[in-house]
Amino acid sequence: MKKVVSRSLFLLILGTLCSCRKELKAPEYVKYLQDERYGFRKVVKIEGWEYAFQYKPAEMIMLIESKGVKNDSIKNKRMKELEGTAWFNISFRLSSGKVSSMRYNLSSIEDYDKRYDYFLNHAKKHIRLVYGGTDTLFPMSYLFENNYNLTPQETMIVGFRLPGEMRTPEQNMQLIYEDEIFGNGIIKALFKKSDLKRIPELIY
Amino acid sequence: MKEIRILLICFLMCLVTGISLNMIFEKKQKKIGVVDAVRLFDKFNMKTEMEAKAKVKLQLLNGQVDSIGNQLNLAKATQDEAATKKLAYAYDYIRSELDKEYTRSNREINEQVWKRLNPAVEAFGKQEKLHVIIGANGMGSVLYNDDYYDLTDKLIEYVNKKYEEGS
Repeated sequence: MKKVVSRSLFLLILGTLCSCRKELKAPEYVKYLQDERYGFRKVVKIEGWEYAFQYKPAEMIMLIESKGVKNDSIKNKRMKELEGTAWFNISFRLSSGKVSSMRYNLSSIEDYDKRYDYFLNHAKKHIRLVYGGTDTLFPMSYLFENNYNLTPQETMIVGFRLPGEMRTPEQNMQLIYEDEIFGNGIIKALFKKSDLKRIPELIY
Repeated sequence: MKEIRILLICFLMCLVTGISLNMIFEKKQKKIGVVDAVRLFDKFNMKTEMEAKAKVKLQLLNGQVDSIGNQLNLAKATQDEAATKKLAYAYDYIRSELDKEYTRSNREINEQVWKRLNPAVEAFGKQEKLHVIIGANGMGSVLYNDDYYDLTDKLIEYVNKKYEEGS
């Protein structure tokens, strides 16, 4: 009987320890979220192309934006603004990294302008988020990051308003991007509910 | 001392037997898989979704073909030659547009789906430690195979999971 009790206690303690959220300082926190192993960054490789989907919790956005800012009221205000939303970066590049994807397979400046216009104004129509397997959300905010061809990687920043009174994402989130330019079809990335529960706590 | 030596010999004999058995067992394990390529293609979620998307455009064009076709029949029935000529031209044009769109979307779906399936099949083969995956497609390349080598369902599950989760 004693053995049973002690084993049950051991399992209970082990379970409690496992369910505790990690605590990380700013640089480690960002590194953790950018590490593919933890499920917040998904990379899909399609014949010479790489699409990276990065989920950015509010704390991560705030950390990146407020480099050096120590004013708590500004930070709190920003956190409040980000409440009830989910943000992602969708990056794409040629695996070789030799040519900018914006210039890939183009024959004229008009084609470049058309492609650029697509990513500035139309690509958002081809992005959606399936929340909890049932709600399909469309971007409330979209931005194509212009890197002026300085890096071979292009990034689309996209934000969604969560359904209901949800403050932070708690359900599975499937980000879907339909590539209409490079002929790579529908690309999906799933951010699991179980991983979302394990987002470390940020220590300031 | 003698006992230790006997024990050591026994241990070594067990080890050698274990390794040999393991090698025999590994050799006996299947290293070949057969996959119904047509079923794999048809059951891939990306193919179904792309087809559904293309269907909307094709149905729209088809509606236009039907509508112009009806007007053309009416013009023929009323023996309106000018309208018949004009509508016949419009009908041929929209009909050829529908054919072109059908061919284009079919080609696009085929290309994009296989682009995604090929590396996934390769990854599956590596994961399952297979040396060969034979694609059966009903064209006579595989005349018969029983369930033992058939990995179609397992591969369908694998490629769809990979597609949905983005791994």
